[in-house]
Amino acid sequence: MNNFFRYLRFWLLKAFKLYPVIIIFTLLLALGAGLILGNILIGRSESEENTKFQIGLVGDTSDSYLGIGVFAVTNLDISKDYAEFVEMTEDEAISKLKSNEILGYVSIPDGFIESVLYGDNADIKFITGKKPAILGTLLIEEICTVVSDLVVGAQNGIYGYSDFLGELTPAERSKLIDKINVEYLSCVFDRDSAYEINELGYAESLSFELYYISAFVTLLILLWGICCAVLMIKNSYSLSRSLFLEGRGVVSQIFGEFISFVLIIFINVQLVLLALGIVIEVCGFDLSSVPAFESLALCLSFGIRLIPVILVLCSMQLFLYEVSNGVIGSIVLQVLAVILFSYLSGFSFPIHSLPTAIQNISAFLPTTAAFNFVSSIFAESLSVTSVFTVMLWIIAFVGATVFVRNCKIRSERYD
Amino acid sequence: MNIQIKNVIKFFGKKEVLKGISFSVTKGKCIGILGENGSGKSTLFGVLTGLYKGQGEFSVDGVDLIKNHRLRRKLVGFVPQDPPLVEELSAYDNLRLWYSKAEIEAQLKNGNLAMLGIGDFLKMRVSKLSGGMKKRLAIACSISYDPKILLLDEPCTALDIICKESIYSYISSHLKKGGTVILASHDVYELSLCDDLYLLKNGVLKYYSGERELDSLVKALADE
Repeated sequence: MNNFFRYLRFWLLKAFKLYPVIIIFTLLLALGAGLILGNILIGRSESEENTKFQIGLVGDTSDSYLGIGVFAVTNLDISKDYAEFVEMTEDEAISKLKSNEILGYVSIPDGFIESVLYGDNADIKFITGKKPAILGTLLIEEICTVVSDLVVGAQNGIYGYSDFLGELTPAERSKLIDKINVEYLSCVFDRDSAYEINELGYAESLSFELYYISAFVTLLILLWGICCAVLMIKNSYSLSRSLFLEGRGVVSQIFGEFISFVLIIFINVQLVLLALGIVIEVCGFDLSSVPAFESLALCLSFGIRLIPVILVLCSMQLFLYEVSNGVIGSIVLQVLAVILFSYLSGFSFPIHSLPTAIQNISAFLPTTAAFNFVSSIFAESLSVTSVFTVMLWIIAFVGATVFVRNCKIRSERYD
Repeated sequence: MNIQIKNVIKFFGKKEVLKGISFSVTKGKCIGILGENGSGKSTLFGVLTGLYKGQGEFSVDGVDLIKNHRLRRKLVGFVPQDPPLVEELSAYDNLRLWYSKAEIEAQLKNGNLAMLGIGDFLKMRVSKLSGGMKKRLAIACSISYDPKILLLDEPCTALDIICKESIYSYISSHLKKGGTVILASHDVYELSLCDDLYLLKNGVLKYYSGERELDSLVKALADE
């Protein structure tokens, strides 16, 4: 036991001596990430300003009913940032579609509204280019389908009803049908009556905002693990061999290094949360939507609740450092793992929007276990399953690291 | 103390690297092993220290140290070619992994650390030490429990003569105290310090009784 504490002390000393270097790497990483993120956000907002998806409108668009429909679709919350309808001739539309200036165009046959109002349902066509369906295309296609179905279905009902109005004169019937149509269309496009918005979020009891904050926290811990490369990378196993020969086994070596690694990451986390807490308290920000960060005390207690997450991610990275060789190999492996696992665990896109196969894979990843743990902290719904899964991963990775270290120490070579 | 190495055999896959190595050494004696690069000197040390699995016997006064790990760890000190040091820490911090604070102070006054001249660079960072200083520090780390049998794997490679002299002084002192040294080396001068010299070639160890001049040794290795 004395030897274990001696090695732990030794490794902690190394960690703290290298801490300034780790901080510099962290700042460089934060700067790089901030620049990339800022560039993406600025670029996206500029592109949103200048280049919404353009949808061509071809045909007779003068009718007021059509105007109501186009207006509604253009101003629906989910489409207004993406789509802009532009009137044009069919030749212009085909030309712009071929040159990718427009996403697609809607072709409205002549007399469309009259045919709808009198029970004939002429097709509105949506023509797209030969490219994979993207969100905007799918969206507009879906809207057109829904509106079309609504109008068609409603017309069937309305004209069926009109058969019962045989006692009315044609003029009275026509007037009544017009009134029903107008009221119906107004009802369809009056969003307050037609539907209500429920923010379901992307995880159980977790809002969209908290989902991405959870992802960010998990990713940040992983990135800090990469910043600790100066501490964790080994160019030689001579020290490990000498310790082994002296009777200080691989298990005690690994535990000493693991504890030091975890401690450095924990300190980083608490420093950031401390700074965040101070800023929140001094500036008086309202973070009621993120209860975990409402005050300095809550920020710091959040850091403590993150310990299992830090343990599982550090154990994974400890294993990756152990299996890799050299500085470049180690860092490349860590970066690739972070990129891959971030995608597969739903850090960048909500997991439920990914293909089923990826969702199935994601369920078995350590980063998903860590992410789910963070999410459950925010959702205040920590379960025994989350804790158990995390513990299993920690044991698995630390055990695997011990095995690899043992193999490396005893690796036989010609000498 | 009677040390016997008997019929040590080691295979790498199907290739027999050590073919029944046998020799003996008594208390206060230094054995030198000369061989080309890749001849198996470090592998032999690996088997004797228990790092690699092999066959054979390494006994001290009849007790097999290959099987008796605890006694082996008390009696045998191994100084590897690659110093077991952490570059980012100072010499003192590296020593603290192997010695307690009190032990370091005592040894610096009139112990092994004083003999190796560790006090000259105690507070310096290892990355700033010369090769000779690192080697002396590595030896200091490996002898913290004062082992009776020292296995030295090319201890003075690439060192200047002053550094070599301090290491030779330590080896001489260790031998005078009744310790034993088994030394693997390419250095003719180092080998001249040894009481007995063996040549290791093609996995076979043979006693060498000829002149310990460079030309003679080269010829002997070429002829084997």
